[in-house]
Amino acid sequence: MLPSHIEAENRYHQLRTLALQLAQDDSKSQHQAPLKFKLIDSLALQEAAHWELSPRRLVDWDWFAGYHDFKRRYPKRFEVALWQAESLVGLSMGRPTYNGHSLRLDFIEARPKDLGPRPLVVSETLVAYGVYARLLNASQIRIMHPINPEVRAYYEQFGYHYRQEGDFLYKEVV
Amino acid sequence: MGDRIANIERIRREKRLKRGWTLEEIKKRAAEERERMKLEGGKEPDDFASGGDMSKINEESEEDSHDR
Repeated sequence: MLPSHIEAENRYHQLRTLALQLAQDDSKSQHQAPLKFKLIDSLALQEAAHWELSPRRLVDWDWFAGYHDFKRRYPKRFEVALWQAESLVGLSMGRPTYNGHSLRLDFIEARPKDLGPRPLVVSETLVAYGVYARLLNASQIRIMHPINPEVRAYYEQFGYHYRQEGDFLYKEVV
Repeated sequence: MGDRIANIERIRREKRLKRGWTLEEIKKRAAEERERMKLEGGKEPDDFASGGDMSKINEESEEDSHDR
């Protein structure tokens, strides 16, 4: 790994940690069982492997392999492991675009409901992405590749607009 | 009138992009966004995932063709 990659990894690690802390601080009063915004670690990846037991799961993602590929490739990435009461309820990862104008949310998955109740994962995750986007001074958040019309419509409720060319939803950071 | 407000918004935005956000502004925006999403968001789908092909992360181009 190049020294510049390691340096970027360390520098952006601090920003990731700060973004998660800010998102968590603001969420404290909102939930009976507080949410914890953490980086993705081995414990989170072990928990996510249990999601494969759900017949209702919409994707066949291998978070263990996917996260390590993403981490190795994108030192400026953002990632959220969302926990409630010691249970993993959501995972996501994204990265700034090549020129840094936008922050992408590349993958997000909430724990399937048949594995237990969970809080709102998408809106909480988007708050954290908003914080990181502002720390990077990105001007737009992009949600890449909504997997079906229901998911796309859900994002549109939050003011995101779909762009067919590129298959993403976007919203300006204001 | 509408144009004037849009212009003011644009100028404020450009200024902010130049100087960045303070931590206080970021915290305030996070709180506002959380509140707004609570009001605007309907029921979150029971089973939710969104994204591309995770097994092809290494094959993706780092450049974004729709970047500005």
